[in-house]
Parts: sequence; C-alpha cells; structure tokens
Amino acid sequence: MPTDVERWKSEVYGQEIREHLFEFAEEGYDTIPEDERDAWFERFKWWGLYHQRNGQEGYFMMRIGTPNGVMKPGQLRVVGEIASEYATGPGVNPIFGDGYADFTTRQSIQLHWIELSDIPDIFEKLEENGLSTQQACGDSWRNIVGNPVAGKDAREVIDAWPVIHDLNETFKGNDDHSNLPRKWKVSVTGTPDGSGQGDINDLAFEPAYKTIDGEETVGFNVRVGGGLARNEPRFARDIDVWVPPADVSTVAGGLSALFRDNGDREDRYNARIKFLVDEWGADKVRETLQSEYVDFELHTAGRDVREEYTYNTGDGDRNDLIGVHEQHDGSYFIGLNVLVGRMGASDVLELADLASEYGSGEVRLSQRQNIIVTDIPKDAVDEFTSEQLLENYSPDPSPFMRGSVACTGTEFCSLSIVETKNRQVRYARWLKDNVTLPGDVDEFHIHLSGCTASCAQPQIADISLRGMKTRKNGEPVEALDVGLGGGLGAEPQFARWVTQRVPVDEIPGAISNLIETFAAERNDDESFRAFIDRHDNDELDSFVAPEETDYEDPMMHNTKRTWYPYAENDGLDAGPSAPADD
Amino acid sequence: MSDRLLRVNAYTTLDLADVRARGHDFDVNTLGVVNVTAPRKNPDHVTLQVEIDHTTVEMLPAHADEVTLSASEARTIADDLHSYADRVENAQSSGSDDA
Amino acid sequence: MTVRLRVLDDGAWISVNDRREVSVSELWRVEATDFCSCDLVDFVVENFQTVGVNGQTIEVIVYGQCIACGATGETEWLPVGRVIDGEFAVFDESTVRRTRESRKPETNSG
Repeated sequence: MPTDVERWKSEVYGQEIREHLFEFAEEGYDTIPEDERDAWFERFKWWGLYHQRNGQEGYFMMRIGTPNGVMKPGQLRVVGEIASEYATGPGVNPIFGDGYADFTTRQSIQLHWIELSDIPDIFEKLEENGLSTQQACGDSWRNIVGNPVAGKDAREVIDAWPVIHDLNETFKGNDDHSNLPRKWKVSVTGTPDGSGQGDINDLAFEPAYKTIDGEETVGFNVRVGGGLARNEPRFARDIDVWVPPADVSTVAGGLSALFRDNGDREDRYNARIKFLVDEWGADKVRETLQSEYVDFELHTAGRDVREEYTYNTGDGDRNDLIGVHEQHDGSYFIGLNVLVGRMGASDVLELADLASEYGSGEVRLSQRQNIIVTDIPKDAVDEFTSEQLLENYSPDPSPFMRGSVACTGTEFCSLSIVETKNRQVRYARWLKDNVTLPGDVDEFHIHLSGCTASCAQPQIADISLRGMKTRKNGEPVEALDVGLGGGLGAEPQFARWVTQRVPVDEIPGAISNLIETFAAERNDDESFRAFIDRHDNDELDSFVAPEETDYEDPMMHNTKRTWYPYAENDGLDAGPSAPADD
Repeated sequence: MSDRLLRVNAYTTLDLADVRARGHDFDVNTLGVVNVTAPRKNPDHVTLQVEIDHTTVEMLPAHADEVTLSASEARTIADDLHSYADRVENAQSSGSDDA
Repeated sequence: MTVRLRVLDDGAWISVNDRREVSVSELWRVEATDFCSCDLVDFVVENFQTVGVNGQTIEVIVYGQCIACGATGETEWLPVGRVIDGEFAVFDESTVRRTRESRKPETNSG
C-alpha cells in the first residue's frame, strides 16, 4: 500500500508545486487548508523549504543548493543580503545573533526563520542571480557534491566541474527524475584525494584510469549505495563500471531510473538505494543497469587512486581544504574555517567584498562546513590572510576549531534530540583552551550530530558524537554517544560506538582524558585513527573517561520542550504565533 | 537587537555577560557582549570591547566601548582578573563545605 | 469518523489531523519485558516507525533506547493518546505505557 507521501507526490509534485506555493505566499499562511497542511509541507520540501520545529510553526528553513558548492562572483553577497533581510525571527541565538547563514555538509546553504510571504521575493532575487532552492530537499536529486575546487585545484587529474554542471542541468527539474522513492545523493570527484567523499553517497564517481585502444585514459569508477542515516551506515559499493566523462550523465541517469523503478515505495525506512544494493548485491545492480537502463556496453572498473586518498582520513597532508593551496593557473585558493558552518550575515557580506577585492569574487563551500576563496594571486596571499575578518575565519585555525562539524540540532530541527551548534562551539573553545594535542597532530575532527539522521556525518570523524539522553541524579539530561576511529580513504571505516550516553557536561573531560591517553601511549608518530584501530571496544571505552570539569553546559535540560532553546521565556506556551501575512 | 555594533560570532569572548549600566540618572542591570581582540596585521595593541543591550537603557544610544591596551596593560588586567577569580572560587568552595 | 494519522518528517512526528502532536526525544516509561530486563523501560523516543488506531486509542511503533541499560530496538504498539469526539488528547509523559493484547490495529506508516 503506498504511503501518504507517495499519494501526495502523485497528486502534485515537482515544478507544479511552485504555483501553489506562490499562491499561499500571496494569500497567507493560514489559507493552507487545515486538512492539507501535512501534504503541502511535504511538497514544499521539493522547493528546499522545510517547516521548522514545534513552537516555530509558520517559519521555514530554506536550503539553497549550490552544485559542488560553487558560488560565482556576486552570489555570496546575494546570500548575505537575503540572510540579513529575511533570515531573522523571534529567536536570537546567543552566540551568533540573528541573521546568519549555515554552510552544510552537502556544500549548500541553509537560512532559517523564512516566512512564506517572503518566498516570491526571495526566489526572484535568488533566480536573478543564478541561485535556486529547487530539489534541495525532498525525494529527488539533492545538491551534487565533490571537491569544491574542481576546475581549479592544481592536484586534479580530471576536471569534474563540467561533469557536475552537466548533471545538474540535466537532472534538476527533470520530470522523469523528480519523484524518486527517497533522496538521491551524488558525488563526482576529480582529484586523487577523496575530497568528494563519494563513499558516503548514493552514487559516486571517483577518478580512475582505463586503457582504451592501448591508451590510458582518465575517467570515473562508479560506486553505488552509500549513506549514513538511521543506524544503518553503508559505504558505496563498487559495481565494476568505468565511464569516460562523456558517459557520466547517461550512467547516472540510468542508475537514477533504476532507483526510481526499483526502490521501496511502501516503506520509507527501506527506501534508500543502499538497501536495494544490500538486497541485490553489486552484481545484480550492474546487470540490471546494463540490460535495462543503458544501451552501450559498460566498461569494467579502471585503476583507481584510492591509495592516494587523504581527505578526512586522519592522516596525510590534505585531510581537509583549509589553508593556502595552489590552483593550476598559478593563483591560490584559500580555505577558511567557519566554526560549525555558521556565519553572521554581516560577516558574509564582508567576506563577499574581500573575495571580490582580492580574488575574482568567487567562493566555494566544502563538505566540512567551511568556505574557500579562490583565484587569489600569489602576491596578494599575505595581505589577504592578514585581513581582520580572518581572525574569526582563519586559514590556520586551532585543530579543535578546524575539525568541528555540527548539524542544526534542536534549535530548529524536529528530528534532533539535543542542542548541537552552540554546544560544539563551547566544546571547541574549551578544548582549545584546555587540551594540548601532540605537536605533530594539527587536525582533529569532532562531528556532533543531534540524532541518527547523521547530518553532521558523525560516523567518519576522529571523535563522533551523537545525540542521546541519560539521567543524572535522577533527572533526564541531554547526553551523547561517543564513537571513535571513523574516517574515509582507501579503507574507509565507520566509527565504533564505544561509550554510550555520556552527560553533555562530561564530554569535554572525556575527550581530554582520551587525548591524554593517546598522547601517552601512541607508537611514535602514529595517527589518532591508527591508535584507535589497534584497540578493542572495551579498551577504548576505558580511555573515554567521562568527567566533570570547569566546562558548564547551559542546555542540559530537554531543549525540545521549548519553543526556542535560547529564549528567555522558552516554554512552549510562550512561543510566537505563525507570522501574519503582511 | 538589530543595530548591534560588535559582531557576535563563535569567537566572541563572552556572548552574554551581566552588565550594569550606571549613570547619575539611571542604573540598569542588563546584558552585554564582552570581547577581547587584537589586529591581525602587525598587532601592537589589545582591544577590550563592551557593548550592552542598549534597548533596555533609554538614556543610552547604541554604542560600544573599546579600550586600547598595550601588551603589559592587558597582562595587568589579566592578572587582576585571575586573582579575583581565585578569590571568588575559594569563597564559593569553602562556603559550600558541609562541615 | 476518520482521523488522519501520519508519521512525518522521517519519523520526527506523529501527526493527528494535520497537527504535530507527539514528538521524538521524549522519555517514556514503558512496561515491556521483551525489550530489556529493566522493570520499567526508561525509554527515549528516537524515531516513529508506524502509527495506527485501536478503538479510540492512537498507538505507535517506535524505535528507541532504554537509557538505563542501553538496549535498543523497536517497541510493540504503544499508546500515545486518545481521540474523543474528534479531538485528540495526548497522554501525559508520566503515563506508563504497555502494549495491548488486542487485535492488530490498522496501520499507516507515512
């Protein structure tokens, strides 16, 4: 029996929704018929609009999808202006103020407190400037990711940007692929460092070499069925296919159609393609793709370069893209750390100006919630990196600041169990002030996710933290499960969840104790990941010794039982009413 | 507070401090931001910044107060802050002893 | 009288007549000897799987964890509230919930 969501999608979905959306925007939020609210809110997701949590009814999170995180000159300024004018609401964040933009782990942008009545103006401004929210959420092609500096990175072996651009043009808004059983996440990488994080996507194209007619050509190997959510993490499986760049679109479309036709539409929890790959195996996926969805003979997999992967591996020289790096045209791209991905609107505007002044005005967003300014001439690098703004968005940040990733959390998200972004800021500050890493360790990744949806990609970090609850002195408090030893690379591994339900105020002490043990017992210059790897779960559990310290956590109570965790009167009955039509 | 002067972000030293704004004609307990920073390029001074939520104090327009400190002045303040912090902590812990 | 029941937003909510009524992250007291060996499961609601109706009672199957002993999994049908004269009344947080032995309710998982 099809789910309600399937029924709603078959009635009105895709492009059609826009007309209705604009009508509701004109006439007012309360003209959405009461018995159709669920249906419309589900449909609005196709246009990147996600209804905020309870207590914040009538306000939407808006996601702007920027393929590969590429923001052309002028676009960052537009986002800053929209954030400044529209992304403000009844709740003010004590650390970040009001009016800010969130850079996400899929290289997109999220703005909060957006009112329905402002949507037509916002969409007009976005679209005038080449930006879109289309399909940023919902059951279709999500924002395509990869190495953010595709097309410029001196290390690339193939330019993935035209491929990504072409995929975006072909499949966004394509009626044949706009109603899939679930979300569809695609990654294309052109550098031999793994920076597109293909392994955790539904569909991944990673660089590989194939000898064709005696000549070695670079193209892409194809992997299918990665994903982190809901306690069922999977790495994408090798389906033994290599494609030249010209065929990426056909094969991607073939696999999207295969998913469309064969994914589970009865049970949304079984719908991602990772479960289909589990059920069929990689061989059957390949056979079906070959016989029913493409009309040419697929090559077998080529020689990959996974042995060279360094991104998010816990080792190697390019574990992330922060800092000063060469472009192949002789200028530089500079990765700046945006702590937990959140930047105030006035900072966004200032950075947009600096990017224009020093570079071309272009910036790129990374999967670690950071921002990269491209096209900085060699002789301008020193001056650019001395700019005062970079004090807070540094190309040379402390390891704990640098490695912090956090999802949206109970501030706005219905699914989350705990507070996240502000908490990770507090953790990073405390760790920076109180914990010393061994001198040769200049990166340490801590990912904080509010629940098992895993939007902060917790399973692939040095320390993974995932929202939970526990009791302290009989009272329920927010807690975190602790996972260790996750990372990508030639042999990707998911974190092992070694310690459960640590009260949130004891986490800094736990991390401090763990790092102390690491420093004392590591073999020579063994990486943290390697150190974790050679210990079993019980040993690791003993290293994670939760402890109260001078770290104080103001959000130990149930932040879900507020209309906004940081409001002075935060009771659910003190919340705002849905915004009036004005 | 939309006409804030000091930028509040993840690096602000104290995002939410208790501040008393006191004048001859007013005396208000309110909230404020306290930040310590230094120029990124050739730093030759430390800046201590305070901005209150002026919307709670009618008499005062939006403003931020910024104190320019030499390195040694900054340390003098830091030392004083440390020693008073010790004093407060000692009083709190002996005050909460059961005996 | 039909009541519209749904699991919404990837399991974050139970929606009754297009209103969000029951949320994840709550702590429930559950009597379920097959879930774990605790007398009462100190259950954190992580994700709703299915919602159904059994007479006047709205029931759910939910994935979660006992925060006392760490056992994880899906529960059997647990009550969340009642519909009386078309109005939904949610059960208080302190209610001890247990699965009814009665007939399997009609289901709707989204």
